[in-house]
Amino acid sequence: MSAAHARPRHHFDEALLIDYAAGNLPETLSILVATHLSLCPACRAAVADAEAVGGALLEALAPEALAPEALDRVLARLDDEAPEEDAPEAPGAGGLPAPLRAYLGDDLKVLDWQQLAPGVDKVPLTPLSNIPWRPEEAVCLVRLQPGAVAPRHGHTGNEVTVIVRGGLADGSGDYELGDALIVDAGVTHAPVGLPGEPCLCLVYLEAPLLPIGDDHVASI
Amino acid sequence: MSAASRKSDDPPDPARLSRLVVAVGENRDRAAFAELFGHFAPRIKTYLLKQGAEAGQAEEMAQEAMIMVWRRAESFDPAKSAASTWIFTIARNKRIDALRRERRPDYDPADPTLPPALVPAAPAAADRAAELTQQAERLAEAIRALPEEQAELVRMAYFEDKAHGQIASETELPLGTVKSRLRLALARLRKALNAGGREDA
Ligand SMILES: [Zn+2]
Repeated sequence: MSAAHARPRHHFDEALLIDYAAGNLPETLSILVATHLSLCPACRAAVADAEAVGGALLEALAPEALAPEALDRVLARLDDEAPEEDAPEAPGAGGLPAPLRAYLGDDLKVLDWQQLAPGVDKVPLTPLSNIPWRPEEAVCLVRLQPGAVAPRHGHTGNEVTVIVRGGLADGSGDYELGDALIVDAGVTHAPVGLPGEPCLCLVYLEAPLLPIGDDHVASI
Repeated sequence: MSAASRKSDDPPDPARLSRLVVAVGENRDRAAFAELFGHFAPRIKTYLLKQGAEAGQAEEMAQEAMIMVWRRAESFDPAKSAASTWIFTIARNKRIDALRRERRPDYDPADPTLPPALVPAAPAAADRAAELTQQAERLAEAIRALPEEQAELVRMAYFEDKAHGQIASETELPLGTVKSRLRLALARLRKALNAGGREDA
């Protein structure tokens, strides 16, 4: 894979991928990482390596004996019927990657879109799932029509965006399929949809947004 | 059951562990499972205790994780990961489910919506299993050789349910220092993983 054509171009940093592999991220942020991984072979390789590190660390732990009857108890349970596991959501018309289908299904038309600005709307994942939300956090799917501008806003915590379709630009550059855009607290920006198909992006907010100027945006 | 009496502090042999998981997956081999149990269940229990589980809960969860090993063994691919890596992910997911009470979003490598250009080519399976075994050995050695300041952060990340931001605030190290130490540690360990051939990303 040549660097010039490697996609995506914007990745999560390795410390965050280690957190994901070690199991230290909240479910909210994990949805973003899993969505990026669906679209990024390079970060999948990094997570696989970080999981191999986890395996080696597990291997190196001093064993703590189980109860003497533990093995017999487990052997007796092996033929118990397995509880039903959630079947992965089959893809439908929307073409969303698997981690998103698990929360939103795959028909964009039936989702409860809320307009934020002309050509900009969003669907919160919040009420659609059973995530034990930390109240300050939010995850939503945002759609930007080509040329549409999201209201300028600041951040009181990190904002993480993963592009699921199309692309957007802000002062820091262009972001396309699979790219991760991470904005720190204190930065302000006003993303605009790139020409072409409408941009779909998944947005995680660690803490509420700050409206700037006349744009009173409580949260996106 | 004689296979179960193998002492859990014997030096692990990654190739054997891998064959045992395959035997469980393909033949529902109970002796192979018992040997895996003898090796991994006490280590999973230690892992869960470190992560803050109560003793009784760690005992119960370690048993449940091993039942997951039995149920999922068919999906284990020795060309894709070492047995210890695969079992680590089961123990980790059990912990997220039972201790964090959250779901674990993950990507689906067989997701039909993935753009074909982004699906990585499968590694050549024939050499891959042997290579993974050597990797596991090199990795264990590299972990023992990590500088203490890096090893400490790696332990906090993997055993204390602490994301790197939290590690920074607890150790009072600058966030950039925590990130760079974790990055350096992973770079060293990846070098050990990939020394056999694979190109570094
Ligand atoms: Zn990436």
